[in-house]
Amino acid sequence: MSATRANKLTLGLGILLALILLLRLMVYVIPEGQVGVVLTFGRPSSDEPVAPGAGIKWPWPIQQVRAVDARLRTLQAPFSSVLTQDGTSVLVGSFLLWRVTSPQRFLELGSDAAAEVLLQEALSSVQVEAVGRVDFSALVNTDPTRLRYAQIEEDMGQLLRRALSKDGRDYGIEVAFVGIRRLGLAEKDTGAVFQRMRAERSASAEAILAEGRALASDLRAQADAERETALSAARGEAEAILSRAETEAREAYAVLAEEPELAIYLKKSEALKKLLQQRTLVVFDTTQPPFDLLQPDAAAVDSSSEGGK
Amino acid sequence: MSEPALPAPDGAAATALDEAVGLAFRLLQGSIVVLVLLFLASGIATVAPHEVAFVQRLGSLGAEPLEPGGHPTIPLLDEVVRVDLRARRVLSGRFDVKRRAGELLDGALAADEAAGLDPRREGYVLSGDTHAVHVTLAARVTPDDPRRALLAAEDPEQVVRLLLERATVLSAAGERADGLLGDAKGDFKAAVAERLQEGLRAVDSGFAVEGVEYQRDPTPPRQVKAAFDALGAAKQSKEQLRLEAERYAAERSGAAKSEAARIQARAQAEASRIKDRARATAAVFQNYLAAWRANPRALKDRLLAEVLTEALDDVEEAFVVSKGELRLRLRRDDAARTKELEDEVLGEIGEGR
Repeated sequence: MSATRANKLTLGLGILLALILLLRLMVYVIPEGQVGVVLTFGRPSSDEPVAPGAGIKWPWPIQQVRAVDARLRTLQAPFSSVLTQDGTSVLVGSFLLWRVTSPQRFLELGSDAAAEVLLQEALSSVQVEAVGRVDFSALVNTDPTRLRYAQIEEDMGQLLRRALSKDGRDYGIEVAFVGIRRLGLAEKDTGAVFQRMRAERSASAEAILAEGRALASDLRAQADAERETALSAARGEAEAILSRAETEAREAYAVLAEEPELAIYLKKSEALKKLLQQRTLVVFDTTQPPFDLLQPDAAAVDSSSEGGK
Repeated sequence: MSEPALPAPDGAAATALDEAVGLAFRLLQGSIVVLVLLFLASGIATVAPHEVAFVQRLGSLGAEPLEPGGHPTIPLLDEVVRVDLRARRVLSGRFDVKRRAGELLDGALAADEAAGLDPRREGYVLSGDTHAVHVTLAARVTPDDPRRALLAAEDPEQVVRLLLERATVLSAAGERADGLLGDAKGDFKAAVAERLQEGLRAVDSGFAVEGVEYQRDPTPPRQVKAAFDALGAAKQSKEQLRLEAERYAAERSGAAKSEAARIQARAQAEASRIKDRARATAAVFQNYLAAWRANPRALKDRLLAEVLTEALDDVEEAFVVSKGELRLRLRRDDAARTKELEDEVLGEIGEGR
C-alpha cells in the first residue's frame, strides 16, 4: 500500500468522523410523546413547541434542545380534612392527571419537582374549596341522584385552571382530569359510625328474626288450614259416596216392601244366627219347636203345633 | 579470500512487512464485513404474538403497527417500541386494611370494638348510609388502541389505579353498606367497571376495561364484626325457621293427603258393604219370597230349623234344667274346633286308604 493511498484513506475516515460528529451536534430528535424547545443561548427560539421528529439546530453552545414528556402525568393531593358546606368534617383525597403543553413555559418552573409542588399546593387548595361548596349528603347518599361528584370534580378542574393562570401566568400545563380518589371520616368520628352500624345491625337482626318467626307461623297456619280443607273435602266426598251407596241400597231394599213381614223375619233370623255364632249359653223353651220334641208328650205338642200353623 | 554475499536485509524485511500488512488488511476487511453483517442484522426486529410494535424513525412513530413476526428496520435510524396486548391487572388496595405479617397469616384481624379507624392503616370506602366497608378491587385492562396506550400516559397503570379508586369511591357513595356486603356486590363491581371505563375514555388512555373483580371481598370493620356476625346468624335463623316451617307444611300436607285418601277409601269400602248387604238382603228376600207367599209358617219353621241346626252343630253341653227349659252351652273354641276338623280330615284320609 502506498503512503499516498493510506493518507487518502485516513483523510476520508477523518472527514467521515467529522461529519458524523457535526451531524450529532446539529441534528436533534424529539421522540413521539414528548415536546421540545430549541434554546438559543439559553432562551427559547420560538413560542411554538417543537413537534416529535428530527430537526437541525446550531451546535452547542449556540443552540440546544430540551425535550419534555408530554404524556399524562399523575399527582395526588394528601388525604386531608375538609369541612363541607353544612360543617361536617370529612377526609378527602383527590388526584390530578396533567400534561405539559408548552415546554417553553414549563421549563420556566425549573424542574419537574417544582412543578409538582406547585400543582400539589393548588390541588390541595381547590379540594378544600370545591368540597366546601356542597353538603355532606352530596358526598354519600343512598339516593345516588343526590350525589354531586360531577359538580365537585368540575369545580375542582375550573378552580385549578384558574389558579394556574392567576395573574396572567402560564405554566404550559394542561389539567386533563381531576377526581376524588378517597373519602373518609376522621378517626375520632368513626366511633359514632360504628355505634350506628351496630344499632342498625341489631335492629335488622331483630326484624329478620321476627320476620322469620312470622313467616314460619304463617306457613304452619297455612299448612294446617290446607290440611283441614283437604280433610273437609275428603269427608264431604266420603259422605257423598255413602249417600250414593245408601240411595242404591234403598233402591235394593225397595223390594222388601212387597212382604215386610218376611223381611222382618229374615232379619231376625239373621240376628239369631249371629247370636248363636258366639260362645254362649242359650236357654230355650222346650215347649217351642223343635225343642218340644224333648217333651214327654212330644207327639201331642207336635200335633198341636202343626195344628197351630 | 572474499566473504559470501548475504541477502539484502532491507528487501527481506520489506517483503515480510508487506505480507504482514496484507494479512492484517485482509483480517481487517473480514472483520469489517462481519461487523457490517452484524450491523445489518441488528435492524431485524421481532414482534412477539402478544405484542404490537411501532417503528419510531428519527422520533416519528410509524402510522401502521407491526404485527407479530420479523420486520426489517434501519439500524441507528429506527427504534422499535412495543405494546404488550395482554391484560394488565391493576389493584386498588387503598380501601382495605394494611395487614401485619401475623394478620396476613391468620386471615382475620383482632377485634377491638373501642378503636376508631386509623386512615393511615385501615382504608375503607364510605357507603351511601355512611358506613365504613373494607374492600380490595382488581381491574383487568387491555390496550384497545395500542398507539394511544403507548403515548397517552407516562405511567398507564398508575392512571388506571387512580381512576379505579375514583370509580370505587363514587360507586360506593350511592350504595347501602348491606348491599355492598351482600346482595348488591355484583352490581357494585359492575358500577365500578362502568365508571372506570368512562374515566379511561375521558382521558383517551387507549385502554379498555375487561372486568373488575374482588381481590378481597367487602368486609365490615373489625370494630363492628360481632354485630355483622349476629346479623348473619339472624339471617341463618330466619332461613332455618322457614325451612322447618316448610318441612312441617310438607309433612302436614302429606299426612292430610294420606288421611283424606283413607277417609275416601273407608267410605268406598263402607259404600260397597252397604250396597252388597242391600243386594244380598234383597236377593235372599227374593229367594224366599215365593215360599213365603205359599206358606209363611212352613218357611219360618224351616228357617228356624236351619239356624238351630247350624248353631247346635257344636253343642258343648246340654241341660234340661227344669220342665220347659233347655240350656245349651255352645262351644265356640276355634282352636279346638280346628283340631277336631283336622282329626276328622285325617281320619277320612286314613279311611280312604
